[in-house]
Amino acid sequence: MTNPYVGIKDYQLWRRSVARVETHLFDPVENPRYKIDSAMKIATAGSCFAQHISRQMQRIGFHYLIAESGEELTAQERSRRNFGVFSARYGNLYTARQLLQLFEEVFEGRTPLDTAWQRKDGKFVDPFRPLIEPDGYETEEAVREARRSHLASVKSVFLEPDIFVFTLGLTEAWRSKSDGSVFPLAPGVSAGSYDPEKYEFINFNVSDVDKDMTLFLEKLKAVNPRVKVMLTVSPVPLVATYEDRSVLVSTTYSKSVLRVVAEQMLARFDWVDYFPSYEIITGSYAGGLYYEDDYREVNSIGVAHAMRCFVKNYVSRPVEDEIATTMPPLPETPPQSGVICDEREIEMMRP
Amino acid sequence: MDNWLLVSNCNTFGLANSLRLLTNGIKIDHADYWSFRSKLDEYKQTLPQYAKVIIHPDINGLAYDFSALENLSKIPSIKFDAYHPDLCTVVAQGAMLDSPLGPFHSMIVLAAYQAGYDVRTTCSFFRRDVFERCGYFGRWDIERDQLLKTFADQGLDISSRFRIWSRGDCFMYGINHSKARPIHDIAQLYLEKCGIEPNDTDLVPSDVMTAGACYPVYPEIAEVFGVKGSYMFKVPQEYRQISLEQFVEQSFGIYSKLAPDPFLPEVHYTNRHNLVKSALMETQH
Repeated sequence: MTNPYVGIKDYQLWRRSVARVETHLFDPVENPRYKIDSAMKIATAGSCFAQHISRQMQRIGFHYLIAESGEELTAQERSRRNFGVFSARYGNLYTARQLLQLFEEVFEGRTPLDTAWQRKDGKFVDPFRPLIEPDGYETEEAVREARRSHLASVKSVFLEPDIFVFTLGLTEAWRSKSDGSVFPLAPGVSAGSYDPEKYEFINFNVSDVDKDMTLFLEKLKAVNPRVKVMLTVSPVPLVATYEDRSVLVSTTYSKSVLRVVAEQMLARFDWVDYFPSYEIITGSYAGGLYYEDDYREVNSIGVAHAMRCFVKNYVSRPVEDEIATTMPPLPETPPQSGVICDEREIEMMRP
Repeated sequence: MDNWLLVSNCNTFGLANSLRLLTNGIKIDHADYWSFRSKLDEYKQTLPQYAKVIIHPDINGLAYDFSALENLSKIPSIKFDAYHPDLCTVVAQGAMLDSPLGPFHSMIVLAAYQAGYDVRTTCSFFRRDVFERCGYFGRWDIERDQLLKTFADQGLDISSRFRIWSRGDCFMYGINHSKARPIHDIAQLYLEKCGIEPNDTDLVPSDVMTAGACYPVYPEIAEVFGVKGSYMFKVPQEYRQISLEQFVEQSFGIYSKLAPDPFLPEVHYTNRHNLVKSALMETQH
């Protein structure tokens, strides 16, 4: 008697690879499609979870591509004005459609009708990255000028990287009824004004996201033939849903769609890989351990776990480990007793 | 009513109270090693009257050879240094030397002092790349395997409990002081091994270990092992913490009073201490 599961690998078995492993040692990455070395240029984009990935890439010492560095500014000013959060100052690209339309704007002359939204304080902002410039702009033309400059930088984010990391974040979005442009935030939330005649809610389905991601990836490969792509799905739940249902139910729908599309891209393109940071953070094995007290934001322990798995599996020679490889192996420590505390110590504990 | 005697190390109080909470109809007497030793003549008379004598395996033969006892059981304690790979004990003038946090010293602080670095430079050594060179991230597997074996040798399988203890929280206050929950779990496993069904309770006795020194898990190390880290050091006997800088300053103060007498880590730590010394040297060059 035999069955097809005889001889499967340990990582295919829950008990061996999940239940019997210490939480911080769990590693779901198997058979990575490529390796990354410290000479390769890495660019990142995506939802807010992608910001963690960006920071860690820089901290670890990868060649992280920053097309808009703000090098003339002080470090404090760069941070305040969101330089280096991603490879360019596009802000959070929550949806695949946002990514696609950004690419089309850079390479194909796509021209959105909405070019500047006014804030309550009278300043103007870019509707496609409304939070990127905290001080806003004095005029609509200043917004347009800043965007022209921004798009020139974004071009190199698509042309130059060896690895493009994109974190799929949401399926819910708001779009212009006039030209279909999708915005990262609903009009009226931080700037602009909500007019049901001009804007509408959209919740993308698998087919929509599949189409957008496929199109983007094909176009990206056409302009940058050496690029490899890493897709991740953000484990951060929706902050709000416009669907008339529980935000948790909407979150499950949204993440499910994105996870399915990531899998479809994996099947379609052999130069695309999926990094399971979503599973590392949300998996039942972690029991919510990797979330902050609001059950939404991912904490530093969770981010560190995801990045450990990333470095271990994708980095051909971890930059940090270069130090370790040059040092002798840790000497064996002779067995020791040392379990009987001295009397003064025990005295403190006596009732 | 059965009467048991427990003789152990600093685990004695937590283990005894856990056994009391988890059993009915058993009177449990306890004595830490030093109490037992001070009343040895008394205990020699009463030992045979106990239905069960439970000892820490490392105690056997120190003050008394328990081997001849019929109802002898052994329960080890947790010794695990993966969270605190920087700790060592130091011998000066033939005796154990106290640091500001009791018997344990920082190998980095000690090596830095011996190399003549000042407090500020020494504090700067508490960072990821130095820890990497010192091998501080690589002790988990060897320590886990040793710990599981220590308990397995006494017929106690703590493997699944170990995974729970290490989940999101450091279960150690230092390399040989565990938190109360693991001690309670060990009591439960011991009773199950004895064929006694423990009471269905989740009540854990008070954590007396916090009266002693509590070493932080350095944040860089904590991150690797999935727990929260800190550079605040809780001093023994009082509920007060000191910063890394204060810990280094006070350690240097203790060492400076000893100079020029030699003071070295205990022999068990010699190899690792040498590695730390060379790591600091490489770091400065």
